[in-house]
Amino acid sequence: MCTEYILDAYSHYAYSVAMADDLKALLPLQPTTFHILLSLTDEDRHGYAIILEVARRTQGELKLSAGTLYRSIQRMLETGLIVETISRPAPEMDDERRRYYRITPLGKAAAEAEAGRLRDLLKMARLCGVAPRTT
Amino acid sequence: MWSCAPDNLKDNLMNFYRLLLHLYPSSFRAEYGEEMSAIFALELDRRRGLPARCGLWFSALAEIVLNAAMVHGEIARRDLFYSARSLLRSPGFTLTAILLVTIGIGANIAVFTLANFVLVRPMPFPQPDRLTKVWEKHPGYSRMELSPANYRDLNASNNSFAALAAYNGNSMSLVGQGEPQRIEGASVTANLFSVLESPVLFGRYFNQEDGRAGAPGTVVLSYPLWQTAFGGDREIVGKPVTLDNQSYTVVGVMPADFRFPTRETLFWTPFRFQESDYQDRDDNMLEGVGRLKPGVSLAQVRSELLLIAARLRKQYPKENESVDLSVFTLRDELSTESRLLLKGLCGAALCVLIIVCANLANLLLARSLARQRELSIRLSLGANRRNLLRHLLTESLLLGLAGGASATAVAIAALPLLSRLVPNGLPVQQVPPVDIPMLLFALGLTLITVVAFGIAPALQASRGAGLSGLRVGVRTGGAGRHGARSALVIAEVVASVVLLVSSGLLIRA
Repeated sequence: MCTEYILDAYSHYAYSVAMADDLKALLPLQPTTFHILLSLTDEDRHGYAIILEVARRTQGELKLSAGTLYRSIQRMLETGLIVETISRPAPEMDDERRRYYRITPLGKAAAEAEAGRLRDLLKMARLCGVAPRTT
Repeated sequence: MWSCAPDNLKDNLMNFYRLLLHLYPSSFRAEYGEEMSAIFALELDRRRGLPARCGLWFSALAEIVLNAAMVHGEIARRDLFYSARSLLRSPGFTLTAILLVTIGIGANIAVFTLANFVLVRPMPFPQPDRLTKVWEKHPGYSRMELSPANYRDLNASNNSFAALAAYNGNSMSLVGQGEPQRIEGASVTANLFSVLESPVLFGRYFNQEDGRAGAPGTVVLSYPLWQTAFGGDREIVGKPVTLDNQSYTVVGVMPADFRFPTRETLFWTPFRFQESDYQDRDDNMLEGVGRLKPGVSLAQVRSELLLIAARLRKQYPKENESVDLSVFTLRDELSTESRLLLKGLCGAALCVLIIVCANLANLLLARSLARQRELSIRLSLGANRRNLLRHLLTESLLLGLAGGASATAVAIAALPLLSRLVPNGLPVQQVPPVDIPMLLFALGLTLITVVAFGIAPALQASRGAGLSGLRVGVRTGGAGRHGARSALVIAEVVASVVLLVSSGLLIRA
């Protein structure tokens, strides 16, 4: 029991260290990557749904093109920020050509780390008086 | 037929879009092409009217071109990274291959740069194709200097030359500037610099007054002489210098890149002909240089010179008996031996390159045999043959580029040694310059070499890799690979024999 606990704790620690190293290499995230990760935080989405969600979240300021989206998706799949899911919606709601993507724990950690980085940056900007003190 | 009916327009735009997707790498297209088309179709449905739909298509065109280039770039970057890692894992092979490329390409860059400099590159004068040398032709001598009298008659009666000048080399002792020294120079007619159309660095050219009989001595200095003997004194114009115990006034200094008639010429003084100099038509002492009028061909000037020579023969039957006139472009003044030597060197360098390519191809084939298991494992893990081929070609490209870079450095270092092959009489600098055409030639040669030694082994390796390669103890890739290696050995032997024979002939020549 104790050994199992130690092994579990160690593997959790090793995973955290590896992930921290991965995160360091990933930051800062490209804005497109960050937006795609944000759009996948609440649910799995297919490509077009990601485009619509990013446009909605940014009030139409960022409209991803299909080329930019899938180039980013390819890179994010390779770096392990997202995965392609096998679970699909009900057949009447589905289009078999679509692929659905899900954010991974690494993707979530990367998004959090990027948000933290942006927050620190904003804090610094406020101290320098180049950003308003309240939002 | 294309139509603007809404459905037809959508179909046509979709077809165009699918066509554009071919700009992406096939693997990317296979993975995401369907979805991208579906998204584009949805976007098309959301837009009504021809302008809106065409606008969407044009923005799609721009983003596909951009993104496809970036996807290709990412793949190339990844390939380069993996290839570099793979090559660094075999330092012995990598260093040997780079050394071979350095030898093969370095020799070719150096020799072809030299040959281009001597045989092809225009002479360093404005409109050099209009510059010609004029000779007297005597029985048994195709190129003999002009006599002052014949030069004067030719100058007065021709219609083909915009201007005709003459010169001959002479050496004089320069005293009063440190140690007395014997320096090479040339006596020239006053119009020589305007025939060559070379601008003076400062001061002036000679004028007709300088060439008058009994005129005070004047001299134009070359840049090297001005720098070494006169310390680059900007006030030198108007000052006297002593040459062969006679005083000459400096009237001008020529630019650093001006050399004429040879690169050893350090000063120019004007001929001051007296009437007595024109008496003897057998006093062949002047080399004639003429600038053709615009639009006058070499054939036209030759036929005019034949007529003038015939008239002079008639006028002076005793002195000019069997004297003819001939004309050649300045570039054609190069001796046959120099041409032959350089062409022979080019041939030898090409043979070396062929031998190097064959050796490299053999090396790569041997390496691909040793890596057959690795390649087979990659294939069985899902890599496709095209990726494998691309990876192997990227390795060749990396080897080629590394070798090409070191070859260029070696060639630049070797050029001063080869500069002894630049004929002294050529009015050009001694060492060929390192310039953009030379670097482009190096790059082109590197890429050709990479294709020559890289493609066959890469094709063989990607074809040979398969499940059979996974078996323990598999050693060779079958008869095809043996055939390729035999062909390479034959090519190598043939090139070596040609190289040996041509080297022998060159040494004898």
